[in-house]
Amino acid sequence: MDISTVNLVVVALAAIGTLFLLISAVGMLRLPDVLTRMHAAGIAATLGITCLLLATGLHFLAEGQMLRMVALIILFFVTAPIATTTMARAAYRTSHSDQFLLSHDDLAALSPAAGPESQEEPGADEE
Amino acid sequence: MSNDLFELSLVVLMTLLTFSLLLCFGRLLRGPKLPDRTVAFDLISIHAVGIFLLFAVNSHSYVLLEGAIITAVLGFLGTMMFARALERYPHVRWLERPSEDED
Repeated sequence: MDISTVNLVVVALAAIGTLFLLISAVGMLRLPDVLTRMHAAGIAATLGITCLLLATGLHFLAEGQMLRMVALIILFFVTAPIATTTMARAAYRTSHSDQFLLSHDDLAALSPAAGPESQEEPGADEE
Repeated sequence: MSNDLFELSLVVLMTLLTFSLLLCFGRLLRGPKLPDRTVAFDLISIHAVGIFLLFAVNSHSYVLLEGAIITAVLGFLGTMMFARALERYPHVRWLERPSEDED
């Protein structure tokens, strides 16, 4: 394959990744809640950094760096949900329920001591 | 695509990533509670990895990719450390402005 075609593909993938990271940063600044901001940090940023890593591995394909970049992609796909879940649990347990825009809260009935105040539902008070 | 245009477009993309990083720093400064700042730190570490990768492509030296890997792992460990410490010590008020919680 021609070197200019490879450069074009590398720049296109890097542009897509940068665009997704920019969308993620705008969502981080604009979204109203901690849990909705975790959407921006967990989903769009993972897709953006995946495109950037693929562009880098394609540029250094002759040096044999594609395998290392694929390993880093796998690392991001494993660590981003773990970090987001841990942050969501910490944010839920250290805050009150009026700070979240939750329409439905399953954890409030399970742990009334650690979580926010549980809403008494009608018909759910036996057992 | 010629070589000059390739490097120029990479510099433009690095500038865009730097602007995006500044938006994340805005959330890091503004965030009312510590979980907001923790999420902002996670996104900042991902942006640091992205800028590292574009810098390595722009300077044609794949040795710099080691730094990207180390930045990714350290960002994940830092986020986990912040989240676990926040969960374990919930009443410590790091970095919070005293005018917001006086009620």
